[in-house]
Amino acid sequence: MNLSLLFGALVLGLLTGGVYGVMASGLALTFGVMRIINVGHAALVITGAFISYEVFRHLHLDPFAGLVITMPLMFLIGVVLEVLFIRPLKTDREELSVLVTWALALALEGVLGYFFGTDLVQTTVSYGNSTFVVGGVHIADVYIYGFLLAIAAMAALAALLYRTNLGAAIRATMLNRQAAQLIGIDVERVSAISFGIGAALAGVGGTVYGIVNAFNPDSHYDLIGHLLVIVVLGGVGSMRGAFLAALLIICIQDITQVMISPDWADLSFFVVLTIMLVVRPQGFFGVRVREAT
Amino acid sequence: MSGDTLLHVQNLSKRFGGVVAVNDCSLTVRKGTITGLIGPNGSGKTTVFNMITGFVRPDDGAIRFNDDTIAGRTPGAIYRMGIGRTFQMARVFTRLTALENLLVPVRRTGVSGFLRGFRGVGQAERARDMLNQLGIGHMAEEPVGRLSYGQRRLVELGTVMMVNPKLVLLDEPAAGVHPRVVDGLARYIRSLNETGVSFLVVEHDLNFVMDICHDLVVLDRGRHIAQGPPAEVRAQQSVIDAYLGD
Amino acid sequence: MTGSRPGWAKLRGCVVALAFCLAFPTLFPGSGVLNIALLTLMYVALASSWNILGGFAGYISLGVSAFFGIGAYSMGLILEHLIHMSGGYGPFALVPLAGLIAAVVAIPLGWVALRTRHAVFATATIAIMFVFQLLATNLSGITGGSAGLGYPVPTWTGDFYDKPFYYAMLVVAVVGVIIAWMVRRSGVGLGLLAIRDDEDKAEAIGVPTWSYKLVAFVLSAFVAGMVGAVYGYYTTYIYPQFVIDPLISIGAALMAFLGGSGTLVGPVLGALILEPAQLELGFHVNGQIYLILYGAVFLFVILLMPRGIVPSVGALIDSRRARRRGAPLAAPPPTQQPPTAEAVAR
Repeated sequence: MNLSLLFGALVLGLLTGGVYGVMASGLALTFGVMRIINVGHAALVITGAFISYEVFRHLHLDPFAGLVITMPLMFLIGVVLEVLFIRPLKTDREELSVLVTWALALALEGVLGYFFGTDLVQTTVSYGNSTFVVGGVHIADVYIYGFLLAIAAMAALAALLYRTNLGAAIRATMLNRQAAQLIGIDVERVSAISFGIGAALAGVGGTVYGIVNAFNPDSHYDLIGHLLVIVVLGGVGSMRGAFLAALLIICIQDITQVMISPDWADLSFFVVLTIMLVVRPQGFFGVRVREAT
Repeated sequence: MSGDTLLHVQNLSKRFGGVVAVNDCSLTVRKGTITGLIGPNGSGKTTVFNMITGFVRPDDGAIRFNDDTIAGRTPGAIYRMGIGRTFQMARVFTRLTALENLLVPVRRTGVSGFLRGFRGVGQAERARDMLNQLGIGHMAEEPVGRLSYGQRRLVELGTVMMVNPKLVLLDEPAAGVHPRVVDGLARYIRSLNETGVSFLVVEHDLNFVMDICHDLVVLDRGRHIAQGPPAEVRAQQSVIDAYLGD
Repeated sequence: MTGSRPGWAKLRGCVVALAFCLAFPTLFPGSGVLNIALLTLMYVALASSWNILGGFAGYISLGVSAFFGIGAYSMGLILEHLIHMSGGYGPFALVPLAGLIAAVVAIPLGWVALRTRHAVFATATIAIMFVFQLLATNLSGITGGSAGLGYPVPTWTGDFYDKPFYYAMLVVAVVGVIIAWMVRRSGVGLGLLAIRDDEDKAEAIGVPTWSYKLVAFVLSAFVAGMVGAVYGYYTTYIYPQFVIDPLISIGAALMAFLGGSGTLVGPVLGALILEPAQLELGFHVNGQIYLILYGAVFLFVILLMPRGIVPSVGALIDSRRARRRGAPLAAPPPTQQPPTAEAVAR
């Protein structure tokens, strides 16, 4: 076994895993607060990618700097979507949310395709091609920036959640929605804001994704499978679980890709999922709850 | 009314995070009796129920039903052993009719269920009788979602009784129910008791409890502080203090 | 809400509908129409079988596409490697086998996936779909990968081509609806409905929730597999991304919801309305607008008519009938009726 190759793959996995972690934690946040699985989260990621791409193209702003535009815009989109399409769901919310968010994903894909076309694009920054080598594995510089951005985003999220009143309200709603309502928290508003934050995080991930990958509106299909598995692995509703699970599973995927073959790398994802569902269905940080009033 | 112990709870404890809900609680239910479980708010009554019926795992202690250990078993297993239960907020299947609710526990299963449908021979009649006894026979074909809260309570009770349990745990049966219906409920419970069903009843309505219970257990802050016939218990100083104190 | 009307009217309705379906190809010859009818029947089968788990028990599964694909690939692979049949009526005999294969594959998958609750379960079924798409693409030695897999070409051609496939799909659709009907009236069906309303309580009163959900999952896969096999033979060449397409599951779910999930007629109605509409739309608008409209219709149905057509219409009829009779609606009266004195004072 080529140890240096393994190490290189590990580094690659950690760096890209961080970015997936940011995306996945947005998904976990949404589930934790609203108890819905947003199957359209990947579509939001791609939307973020397109926004940062356009900002880069037309305003000539580096995509990382362009986040000052991308993030608020994504937040707004998230809030609007939540208010229009998710808030009206009163009954059977958990079941129907899968279908509603999938419909949103399809509609988003259509809208993006309508405005931006279906050709593959990529946010090609000038430094996009410089790489460094670890253990025989070529890693783009951008991955490091992306990872640092991911850490910054997670730190900001943690600060928001644990040091602000809004964050306290969000955490209370995640723990017990009804109890939060009883103590005067406007859970509807918290839900909309959380969804917006999730979308903003998706936008952050999308920005990096768009630099590193060629993408088009169709790309959300591949991505959503990965994101969902990561969230399930981490335990739905747990953001730190999602982040850690992302690191773990992307590492496994990259190691498989480098050491075995790229074709089976994708499959490794689902092998890990299966093992998890058999051994511990609630994920790393999830909790099994039996409802007894 | 015999003196054999049907349910024996010993040194039961449970904490949720930093909160001690139940603290070294013990109680017994004698066969053929109606035992009341009372205490101020937050004294842990529903948690004790949840542990007896398998919804919550005890941290410590033992629960024996007819000499079988039931602590830690699943709700379904405990149900099959002959313990039925109602919930604080009446839980029913809202999209099914009242009749169908009662048929769920006695539906025809297996291959014959597939071939001949879920209504077992005679079960539909039994269910209708039960609904009539409860006074809601005319609602048999109504989706329970359309019934009032008190009627749902009755459906819930009927569903539990369809399998002839030996012990029924009632969690605040009178809560949110019209006073006239409460009387009928008390009489129904007593009549069932006369056929040999034992009850453990959590209730805040002390009149209801004094009316039908042979035995009372008082809990305060997760701990039992008295067990005995109602007249005795209500005179105990510790009980008075618990309700009136701090 | 079982509908305790006498069964005769319903039986008559079914017979009439069936007769119409049998006569359809002669009434409306012309392969364009038959193609639409065939695809509609395909979704009648898919929506009805999806409904067994998704509608009755409320467990949204998006794995239908996977089992559809498994059925299509099983049939194709058997015909290619195991039983060499020339195109003709012979391959139709293999359709139930394809369904059985899909059902058998569903057992371990459901075994694991059903240990979770709603949202995670939906995710697991999405994962199942992606996995099989990957397998179909990557195991190119067996499945031909993205180059696709060929079926023997049928010996009939021209205008007549669609007819045998139409009847095959009709048989599968009828089987699917019958299976859904049998489940609905069985103990399993009652249990599934209870699970939908309150799963913990159902489990607490002795409903073996996991087993029942698994039965529903496997039966659903069985029908989907058969549908896939007929479809595969019909198109004579299958590709992983078209045969294991998320839109298949989504379409089936949407149709069940539109018509009324949890009922028997609902999915059939939903398929009859949506599939022809979808096909027509596909002809006239380009890909992007199609997606937007599809998503929009979906959102419209779920947000505004979450119970679907059949229950909503049923409720409307019920309230009209009650009003005409002058009887009070079953809504709670201000005073409750106490248990009758003599009954309780026994």
